Amino acid sequence: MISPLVGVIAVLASVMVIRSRDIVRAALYLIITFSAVGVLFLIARADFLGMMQILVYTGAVGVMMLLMVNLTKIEGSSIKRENRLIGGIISSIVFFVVALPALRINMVVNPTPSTKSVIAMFFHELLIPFEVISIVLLVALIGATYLLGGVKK
Amino acid sequence: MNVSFYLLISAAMLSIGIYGIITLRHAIKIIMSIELILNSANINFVAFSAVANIGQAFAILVIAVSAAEICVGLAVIYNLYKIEGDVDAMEVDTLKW
Repeated sequence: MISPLVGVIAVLASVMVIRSRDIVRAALYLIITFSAVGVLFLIARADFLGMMQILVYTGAVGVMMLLMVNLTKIEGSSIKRENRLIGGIISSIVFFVVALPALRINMVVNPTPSTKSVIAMFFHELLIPFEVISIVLLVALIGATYLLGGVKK
Repeated sequence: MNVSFYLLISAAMLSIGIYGIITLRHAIKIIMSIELILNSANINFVAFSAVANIGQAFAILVIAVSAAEICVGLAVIYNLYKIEGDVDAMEVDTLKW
């Protein structure tokens, strides 16, 4: 019964992402959240997806977040929060709207490994979305390179 | 493991991310909140892949889109920092007329 513990770790770390004053600590808590979600995927036997989560999110996105946090170091003033009441109301409404129907579902997560069938989908049903997503990644790469190199100041 | 447990975690991370987007002012933390929301969507996909395995394939597509989004978003924020010297999302009014 390791799964509830991992889920609680994921939720608490994502709370700490919002709460922590230090932005570097927020990035580190974000890495903890990504890792816990990856472990949740592995527990649900989504093996390939869990490994992709750990590689892409905790590896690439986490390191990129830390890099950007350290490149844009600022002091103090914009760390504080505002609109707390409105944010609390809206987010709690969203939570109850999503969570109350979720409690009624009586279903068990599929315990069989599914890597082979998931990968086979990318060669048959999802071939065109796969190609489109590769073009999206290429465009994002070119756009980010242009943005980072294009401003003279 | 029950599906509703995964859905509860997903709902909690979704509402935390929405709260962060509404309340935070630091642009990088807003992007972190967006990542939390995308992760909660992925948890939903994996939980319902007990019904159809195609959910995991969609989750892989979501990971790719979020990688593209974070790449462009961080590039925009770095440009903002170079121009304005700050990453406060409330102070950005360059495009406002």
